[in-house]
Amino acid sequence: MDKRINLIPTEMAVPARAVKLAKIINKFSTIATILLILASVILGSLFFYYSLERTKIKNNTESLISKISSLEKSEQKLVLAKDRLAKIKIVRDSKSVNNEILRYQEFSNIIANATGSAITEAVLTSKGTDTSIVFVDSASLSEVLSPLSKLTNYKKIILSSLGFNPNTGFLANILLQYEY
Amino acid sequence: MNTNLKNEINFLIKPVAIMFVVVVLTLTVAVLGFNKIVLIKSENEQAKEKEMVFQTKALILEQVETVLPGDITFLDVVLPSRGSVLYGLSQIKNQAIIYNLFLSNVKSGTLIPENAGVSKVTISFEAEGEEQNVYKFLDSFSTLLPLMNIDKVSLSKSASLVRANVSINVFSAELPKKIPALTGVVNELTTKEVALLKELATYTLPQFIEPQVSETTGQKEDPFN
Repeated sequence: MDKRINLIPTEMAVPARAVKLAKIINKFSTIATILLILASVILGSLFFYYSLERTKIKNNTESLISKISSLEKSEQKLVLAKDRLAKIKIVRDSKSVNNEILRYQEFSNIIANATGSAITEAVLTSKGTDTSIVFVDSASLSEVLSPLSKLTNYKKIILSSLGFNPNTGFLANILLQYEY
Repeated sequence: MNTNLKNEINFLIKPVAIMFVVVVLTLTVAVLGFNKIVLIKSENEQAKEKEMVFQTKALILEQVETVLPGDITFLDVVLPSRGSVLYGLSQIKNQAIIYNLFLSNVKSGTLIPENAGVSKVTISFEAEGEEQNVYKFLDSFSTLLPLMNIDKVSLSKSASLVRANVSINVFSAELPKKIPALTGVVNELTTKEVALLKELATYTLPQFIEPQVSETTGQKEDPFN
């Protein structure tokens, strides 16, 4: 059996605890080196993967931009349509008498179909219609009031004034309110 | 004792230095690398979002021709950028002819700005004719182009004729001056907007008579001969 002989002078010999500590430090260094290599490989791979992804996105974006540029006419068309339609909506939402003509016509027909009554004047605004009606006698007045009460187109029908003139008969002023 | 300590330090200095370098390197690589990866990942996410916006925009623009086939310049008659009074007057006169009404006192006001770039001009006139024709005439304005709103109607009846004193608002709006930037977002037309477009396409456009060039019979005399 070999016998190990330490020929170093005792004053130059490294203490056993220093050797042990050196071994621990070396092991730690080895582990750190392995970690360094692993980290480099993992981070390098991730960097490569994300760089590839970035290039792919960049290429896709560039091709989309050129596609959008080639569709400029369509974009102009869409922008014009959107702009006009938004403004058309504002116009259509503004108050007007446009839809009241047919409603008033229905009312006017009731008066026209009744005997001894006639509309002399009517003012149609977005708030309502103010009409003046002449009735030759009370019978014609009551003949009109019955179908008027069945009119569902108006929110309120107000008999605002009723006068009598022996020469012309009854003169009624009726307010038709359609604002909801 | 001092010699021993010196020996110990000399013996340990090399492994400690190596360990220090390796640890510092590992930490540097880990921290810098991790930060770089986080940065590039967030940049990629932003680029992906941008790509999605472009993708949506391209898709919307590709469908424009399907949703809005053909020419949509008639929208400039629906709500003209200029000349709305002329269009309005043309329509009033055309409708009066159709319904056999007599027009008088035709007046137009000045351009009044409304909201969101929409302006209006009021045209007032008197129309006289048979009662039913007056109603049909007034009702026709709901389906005429450019868009017109009847502001006020005063009707007075005499014998078999009705006289209507009418105020009509004719609207106009400036055209958009620029299209959104290439990177800007565009919104597609909603189903309501498409339905409105289809409805407007059925409305009556104003008709103008194009002046014809007078045809000369025979050749003109040569003034130099």
